[in-house]
Amino acid sequence: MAVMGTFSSFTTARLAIYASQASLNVTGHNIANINTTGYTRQRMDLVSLGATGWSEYSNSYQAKIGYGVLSERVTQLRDPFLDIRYRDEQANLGAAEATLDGLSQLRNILDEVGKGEDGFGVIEAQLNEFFDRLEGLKQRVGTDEYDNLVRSAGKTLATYLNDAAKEMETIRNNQIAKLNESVDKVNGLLNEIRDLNEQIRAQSICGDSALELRDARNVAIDKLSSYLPIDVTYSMEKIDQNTEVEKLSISLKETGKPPITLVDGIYATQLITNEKIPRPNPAYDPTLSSSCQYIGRDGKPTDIPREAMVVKNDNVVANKDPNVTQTYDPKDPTAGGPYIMQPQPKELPKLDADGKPVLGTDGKPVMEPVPAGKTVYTDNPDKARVTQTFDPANPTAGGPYILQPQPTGKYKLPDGTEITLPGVDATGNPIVVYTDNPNDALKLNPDYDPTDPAGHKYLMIDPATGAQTTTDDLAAMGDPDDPDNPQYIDNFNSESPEDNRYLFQLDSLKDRKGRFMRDKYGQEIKETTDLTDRTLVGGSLQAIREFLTEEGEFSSAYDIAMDAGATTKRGLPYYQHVLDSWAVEFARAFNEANQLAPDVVYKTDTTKPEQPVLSKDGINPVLYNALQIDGTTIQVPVETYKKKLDENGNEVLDQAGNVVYIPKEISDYSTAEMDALRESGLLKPEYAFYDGGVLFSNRSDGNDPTGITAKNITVSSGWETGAIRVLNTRQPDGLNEDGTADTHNTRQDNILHMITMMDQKRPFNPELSVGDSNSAGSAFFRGSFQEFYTAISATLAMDTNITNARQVNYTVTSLDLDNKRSSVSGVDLNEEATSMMQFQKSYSAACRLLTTMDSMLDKLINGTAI
Amino acid sequence: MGMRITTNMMMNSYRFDLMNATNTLAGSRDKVITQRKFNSYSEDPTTATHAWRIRRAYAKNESYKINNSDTGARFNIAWETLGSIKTNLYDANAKAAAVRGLTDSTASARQPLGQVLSNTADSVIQAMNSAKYGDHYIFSGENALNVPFTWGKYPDGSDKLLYRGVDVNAKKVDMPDTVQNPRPAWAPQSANDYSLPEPGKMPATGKDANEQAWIDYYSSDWAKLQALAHEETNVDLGMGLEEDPATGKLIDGTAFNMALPGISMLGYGVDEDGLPYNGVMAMKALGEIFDRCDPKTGEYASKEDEDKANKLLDRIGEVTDYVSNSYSQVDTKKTFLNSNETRLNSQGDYLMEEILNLEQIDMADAITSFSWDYYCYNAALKIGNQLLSQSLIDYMN
Repeated sequence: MAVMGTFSSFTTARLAIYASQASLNVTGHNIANINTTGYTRQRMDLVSLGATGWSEYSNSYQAKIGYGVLSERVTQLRDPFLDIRYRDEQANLGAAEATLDGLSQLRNILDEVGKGEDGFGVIEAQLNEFFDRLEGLKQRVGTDEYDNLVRSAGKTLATYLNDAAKEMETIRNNQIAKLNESVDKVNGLLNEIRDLNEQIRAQSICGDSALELRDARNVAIDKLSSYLPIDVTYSMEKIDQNTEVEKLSISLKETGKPPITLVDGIYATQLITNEKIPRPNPAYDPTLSSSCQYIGRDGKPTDIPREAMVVKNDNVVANKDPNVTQTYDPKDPTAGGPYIMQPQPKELPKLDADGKPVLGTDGKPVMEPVPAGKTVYTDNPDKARVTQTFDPANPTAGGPYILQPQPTGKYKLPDGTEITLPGVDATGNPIVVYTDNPNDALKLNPDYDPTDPAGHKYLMIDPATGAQTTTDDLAAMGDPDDPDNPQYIDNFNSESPEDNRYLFQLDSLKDRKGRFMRDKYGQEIKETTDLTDRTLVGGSLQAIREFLTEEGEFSSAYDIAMDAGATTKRGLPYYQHVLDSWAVEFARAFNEANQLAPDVVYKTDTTKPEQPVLSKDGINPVLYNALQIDGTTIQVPVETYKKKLDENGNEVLDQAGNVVYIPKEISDYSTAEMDALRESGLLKPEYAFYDGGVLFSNRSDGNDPTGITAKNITVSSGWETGAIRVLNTRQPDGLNEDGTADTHNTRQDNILHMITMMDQKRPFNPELSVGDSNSAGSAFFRGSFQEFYTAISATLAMDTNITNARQVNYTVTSLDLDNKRSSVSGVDLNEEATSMMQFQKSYSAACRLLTTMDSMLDKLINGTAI
Repeated sequence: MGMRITTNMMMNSYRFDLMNATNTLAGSRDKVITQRKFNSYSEDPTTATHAWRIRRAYAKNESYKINNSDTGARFNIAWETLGSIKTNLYDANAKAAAVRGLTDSTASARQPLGQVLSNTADSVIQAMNSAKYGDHYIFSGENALNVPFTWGKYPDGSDKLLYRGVDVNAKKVDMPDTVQNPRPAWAPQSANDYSLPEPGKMPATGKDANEQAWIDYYSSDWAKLQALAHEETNVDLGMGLEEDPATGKLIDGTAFNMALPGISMLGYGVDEDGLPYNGVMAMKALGEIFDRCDPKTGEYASKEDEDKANKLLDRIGEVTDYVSNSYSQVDTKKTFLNSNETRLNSQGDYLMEEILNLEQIDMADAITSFSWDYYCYNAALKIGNQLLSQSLIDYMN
């Protein structure tokens, strides 16, 4: 017979009612939250309540009966492995979506399929129009009307290029705003996760599971995973001897060991977007020991001063005098001993014959002075410690720390005095220099190699020579606020968006109140972390950054050193450079075709062109060719010759030691010089027809062909006003016997040449638009102008296709993983309905049990043995 | 137990599939509306690249057609002009031949015929000068903004015909023997290059007799007329216009030479007897001789005149054939232009057909696809309406 109390069954029924009611509540909670984002279904864990252990009156017939059911706890049903996989996919999806967004915006500008009249495009059609107008002019040479038509076609083409370039700048500004917005969101999410961690921790300490808070945290982490590639880890944090709570940490994926931490329990970092940053060293490798400056407290090299061993002054002054015994006699402290007392006392207590202090009438020991020249010894090292008090005038006397490294020989005091350090002091102990600054007492790594570039974070460039050195010392990088400091690069500088690198830094980990996280030594961790292309790989933040900075084939050697895949990544700058290259080459080709060298068309004195001709004042020789008009020499302030230079840039001398001069090329003339020559009107008779010049300029009010980009290309003011026309021929007219020109005013060889130029295959090199490209000299495209423009669209189309395919794949995979998560964690109405029915029945059954017990006991109590 | 299918799972999957169906429907609709197989480069990069190449070729073909039409118009005018000149010359030739050898009283027609010949010569020049296409004189070669022929006077008062300022009756000067006397560096190096040296390049005097010979040659009117008669004016008619990258010169055969230098149509130079090869000057000279004939008897003023007149009569016959030959050449080129126009038109049609094949959708196929996608979309909507609303709770008491 089971030993149970009379009323035990009431307890069983009561517990059953509680359990059913609690389970129904959980079911109701699940149903209520079926549409709550990130909600993980909960379950009441029921355990059977059974008596265990020995009892004095236990039933020997093994008929123990349980006491009902206990609602142990509410748990969440979630698969953390699915979370990991989902978040990995979210990072990929975020990156693909961000890239696709940028490329789609570019497509609106560069993709001309289906646009324009009859689908001939806009810029493509305008190029055809320009070609047609040239053909028309060729058939009607000598008519300004047709020249004007060519000019208007050229102007329209330039306007289209300007518009395209401006729209690209708008895209840049939009993407920068999006990046800043994303940074704000990431920082907000990091703070949110940190705060939730704190709340969960507090509740966990109190024994609460904080399931809803965990759901909210998972939602925040899911959102964060699309911006950054993260790893989420759980560990146990010891609160006290008996209490451990779960701690969540988030770090950046694949950032080595230890990884770069974003959140560590109640501490979180923030993304910093500095306007300027020190130039990162592409060879930086923090794992190299030869680059670590200090020895850490664990005996290993470290870069972090905070972790380095500070050498404290634990020195004791030992008795090194071979003539003095090491044996200490308390009755005579001056006789000898292993240590020399520090500081040396002036008085010693008087001792009696037994060696005990003699007390005076006041009960205090009687003191007697130490005899002159005597040294007081001790056998207690604590009494022989070198003083902790530091005196700058006497740095060898003592101090809290021991200077590292220890200087030898000459040593300069703070007041400038130079002293010579002896090897040992009067007591025979080695001279030690002390300090009161712990930073000067950091123990250094003996293998430290400051010249090893792989271990230093920052790259310094000598602006004069271009020589590169590396350093960890920010002070050595100079003033970051100096706008001309070459050691700092534009990062989030609003004044130079096209130069910005958009690299992020992570602030030190702080809690909600701004307190720094501490290391195992109890010291605050204040270091910031620089994120580079090697440490931030994936996520929409990096994707937006790459869209804003990657130059593809235009990447410099520095870009490639920072990111080995730089040449294969094409962002907005790539397409801007490509469009600029097109504009530069188009302008260059037509400008070159429309000009003849000034010394060919303008009158020159060819008798002694290489010798300098004195100016009127006879003092300052000016090299020029005197221009003759009707026998009168006219001084035109234009040099038509230049010094000949060898391949090293040195002047070439003839046998007599004179500098050799050669005619300047068209590109050697400045815009002002060309304008002056044109206005001088001093054309040779056979070139009286000449009205060539710069057709495309970098501004509409000038004739400057330098620095042309897609944004500023325009027809020159000379062409606009008619001072310059399309040059119909490069051949001079014949000369009649009377010296007048036999005009060929409808010769059109040069126009024909321009027409053939439209179809000529030419190389497009990166240096057309970018001066520091690593691929300089190697054409990234060969073809005609129109083929090149089509190739830009084709490249964009291929990039879009690839990104689109990745985005679709990641979307499908992400959806599949989310469904799998929902399969585990999601609420199913059918299941909850079933649970409702189940628990309702069990509730009813428990109530029925209660009623039955009640009637039984009523019978027993009220109806038995009356 | 298999995988749990929760309500939100179904919702998510349904939303994704519905969006796919909507995107597909939108794509089909775009194709029907735009009638294009692809509306962006990324939809079909290969076809798009090919289509752009064909479009560029089509645009250029249209340009060639305009050039061809322009050039054809010039040649039509030239052909008409030369035709009338040829007729005038034939007529003059016939008339002159009619009085050849006459000794009777009808020989008195010589003198008035002289006036006719002179007038005919003038009318030929007028015809040549009046042939214009827009602002350009067709027969002026590379100086098309100025009239090709002008009249001057010889010291003896007789008429001098100038082509672009050069006397057409230039005496032939033989080119120095290039074997014995190689061309100087300042001279055109090719035997087929009739152009003159660049001004300023040819020295005023030669450093030796050989160089002087070249200077004398290139300074002569004959050399100038040779250069003028062989001027080229090239036009791109879709024959693969190309420059030699090494020299920058046009590669022969890749462009059409539409030059019609008047001097090459009418002839130039004089023979050993000083008789002009130019038809106009021949008629002028003969006209002057006939003008000196006795008005009553038609007798020649001198034996010399008679001999010269007979030679000039032969010369006019030759010149007539020469002009006729020039006319035939123009006619041949005109025929080429007509056939080229036909070729370009066919090519344009072919290119447009190719463009449409590459880009244009088959409407029947597109509408069928659209209809099917629309049906699928409606089916997806219907599923959503029916599937998502049911659960066990709906059936509980």
